[in-house]
Amino acid sequence: MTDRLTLMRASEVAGLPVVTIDGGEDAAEIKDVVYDGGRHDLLGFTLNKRGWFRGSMKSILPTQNVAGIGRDAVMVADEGSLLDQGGSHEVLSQPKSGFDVVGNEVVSSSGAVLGTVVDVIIETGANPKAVGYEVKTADGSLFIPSSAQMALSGENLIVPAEAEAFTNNDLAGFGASVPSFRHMLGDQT
Amino acid sequence: MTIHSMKATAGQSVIALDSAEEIGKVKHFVVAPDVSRIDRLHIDGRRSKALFAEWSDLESFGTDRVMVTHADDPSESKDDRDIGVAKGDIELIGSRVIDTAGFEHGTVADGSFDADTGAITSVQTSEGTQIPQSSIHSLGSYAMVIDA
Repeated sequence: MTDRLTLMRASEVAGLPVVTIDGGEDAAEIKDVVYDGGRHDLLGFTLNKRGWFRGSMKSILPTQNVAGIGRDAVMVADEGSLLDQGGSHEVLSQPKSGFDVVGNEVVSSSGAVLGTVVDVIIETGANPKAVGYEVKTADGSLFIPSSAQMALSGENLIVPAEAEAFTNNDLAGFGASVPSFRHMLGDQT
Repeated sequence: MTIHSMKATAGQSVIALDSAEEIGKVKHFVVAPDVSRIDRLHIDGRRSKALFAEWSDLESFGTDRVMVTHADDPSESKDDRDIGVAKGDIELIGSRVIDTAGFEHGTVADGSFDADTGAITSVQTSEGTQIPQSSIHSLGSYAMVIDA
């Protein structure tokens, strides 16, 4: 597989406007990216209001309601894509602290310390998902693909030794590594 | 089909056929939310409040002047979209262009419309791209949304 993904850092998504496709309106702004580190899964987004009355919104945006994430905006079908907090989406409004992955030390299963997680990498487009981590190393940064086989404690992120072969030190090149890593694991998602 | 430029039409005088008086000048176009057609013209006239002429009240759309049938036809409006257009909040020309994948493509430089029907046929962006109307989803106060 030689697919190349379009990737963004989660920290770059924060602050983007949420724009409705059916109305061309900026319905909200991304406040925080909500990520389940235990499952390496992008859950959705908390929101801020736009315009003069900025501040937190009660509504949240689950990942499955996103029509597209691009460099300039997060696109949704309509304002109905933003949901009230609570119910099955309560985890989005009250994310557990145990989900934090940024700051964890990255250790390979062979025992090598690779660095510290500084960001989550998101595959953009119509079906956004978390695909890896940006890791600060002693001499720069590194991108490591994520998989369900990675264990997270809140202090350490253990990555399979095989993942080291798919690390990359630039985000563009990492886009080609992720499909190859998934293919190697037999993960077609 | 007679295709006109929206940019070239803005600023043209609006003349009433029955009185021969100039009512004002074309200031904005009130376009349908899906950018399929021009619904009304916002006329900047002598009155303090904005005047709107329905497309059906237009007699002809010439190369130099816009003719309305009756001088009394253009009227004020309380419609939110009309008011948004008059304030410049919802304006096709100059609007940000964004696609359904979340990437911007400059701004709207001009629009082409059929002077016989008011149907918008295409939009040109500041990046030089011609976008057919069939690829446009909506126009709001933030952006015009097009297919990715």
